[in-house]
Amino acid sequence: MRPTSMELLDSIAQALEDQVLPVVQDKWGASTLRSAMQLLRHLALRVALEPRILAADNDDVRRVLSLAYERLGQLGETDLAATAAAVLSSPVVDPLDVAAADALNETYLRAVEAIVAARDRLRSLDAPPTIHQSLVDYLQRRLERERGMILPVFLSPPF
Amino acid sequence: MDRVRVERYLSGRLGEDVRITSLSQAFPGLSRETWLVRLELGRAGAAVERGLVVRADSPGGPFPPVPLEYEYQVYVHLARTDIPVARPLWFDAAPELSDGRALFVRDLVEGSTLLPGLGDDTAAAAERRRRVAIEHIENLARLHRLDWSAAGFGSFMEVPASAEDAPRRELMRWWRVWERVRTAPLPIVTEALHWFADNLPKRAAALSLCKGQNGIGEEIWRDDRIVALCDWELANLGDPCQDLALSQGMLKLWDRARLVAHYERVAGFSLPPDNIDYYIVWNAFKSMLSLSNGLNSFLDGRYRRLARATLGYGKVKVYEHLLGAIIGLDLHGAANLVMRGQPNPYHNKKVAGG
Repeated sequence: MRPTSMELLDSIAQALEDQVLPVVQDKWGASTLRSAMQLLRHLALRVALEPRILAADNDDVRRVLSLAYERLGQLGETDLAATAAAVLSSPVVDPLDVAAADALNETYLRAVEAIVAARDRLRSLDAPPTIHQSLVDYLQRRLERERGMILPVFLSPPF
Repeated sequence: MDRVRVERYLSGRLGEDVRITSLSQAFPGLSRETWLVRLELGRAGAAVERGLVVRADSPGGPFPPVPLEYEYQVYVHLARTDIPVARPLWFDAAPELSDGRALFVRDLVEGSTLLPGLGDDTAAAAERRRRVAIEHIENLARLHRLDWSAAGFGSFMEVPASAEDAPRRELMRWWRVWERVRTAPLPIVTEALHWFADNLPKRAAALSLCKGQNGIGEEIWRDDRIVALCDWELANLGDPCQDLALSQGMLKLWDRARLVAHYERVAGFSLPPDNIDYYIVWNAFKSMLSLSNGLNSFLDGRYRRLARATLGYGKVKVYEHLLGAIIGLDLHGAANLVMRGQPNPYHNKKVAGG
């Protein structure tokens, strides 16, 4: 459907910048306008990219957590293994349902965080180290995945 | 805040007639509101002019998760020393004036938080930058030399057991705060906190009263001299290298090595370069924590000011990427990365108050 959501949101932000911001004299009003423009520009990217990013990230983190679960079990880390198992038993969601995919992603991240937080304890058990590094590698891939909808936009003045 | 309510409130507190001649809010006031009040005090015909500042929590609470009364206590204790600060007058925990939000009142100090033209590309501006940088660093050195124990700061601040204990105590304190205020799981930040633990300074350069946010945009300047140090919400007892790292570009105003050497002469102790590098990176984490805390009131609907989202979500995402990028870097490399990404937004302002 044309114009796309991205085109509409981006053109609204551009119109505010070109036609409204120059004539807003009040600094508080102009500040709010700059914030609104920045959020609209983010939304223009997010609406288009978020479903694919979430789907790819959920696949990735699920795979990494599965490997971590196995290894944690071998190491006798029963609590962390149970944490991983609990989130891995979550039902798979429709990737087009962004809200559900986002909620699932947050559930996975909580488990990742719990395991990352145990770095010092795992370091003495997990030799050669695999669990922690595989999670950190995943987190870097995650940042790279979402970079396109974050960094170009949120480096502009936020207010 | 409207003029009538402020007049009524101040009249009640000061016990005299108050007529406000000017009331304005300092921009942008995203964390806390700062209201500049000029008034006539006393009966008509015998009134005296006076300036006050009302500092209040915003409807969404502050960015740094630190109570306003803490900052007020810093002012109260500093006012008994020779550190230049505005005189604090009173703290009000839940006044009707601000609909129950905490506020405190202090004297207004004439001056400006900005130095228009400082970033100009002229020889005169370059010389001015040198003078301003030295003025700032000398004020920090004098603050860091202060006998904070004799001035009573240990009565309401966390006191590290030693210079060796200070960096770890700072790390663990804010790690716990982060776990309390974050709005979502951010495991890359947890990993960054491991990086901080791995790169922790062995000891603080000294055990000093540190200001927190400092530099242009924070202090009150008059004729390029600091007449009052302001914004003390992040003040703490710890490594003075924190303040040099959190000086928001002041170390870039002139030759950094010469500035640090000048500081060391005034302060009477030396600053390990690694400590400064560490706190440059650490401040990226603390800034992210504060902005993230500010998002909570946006998410729960208490305060839907859009800048809370651009900062608490957008800028926090940028910091998340920045902290992700430091993992695997050594201390110096990480500090350089953070320094490149954080220009001071105030240095090129053309006019004060903009």
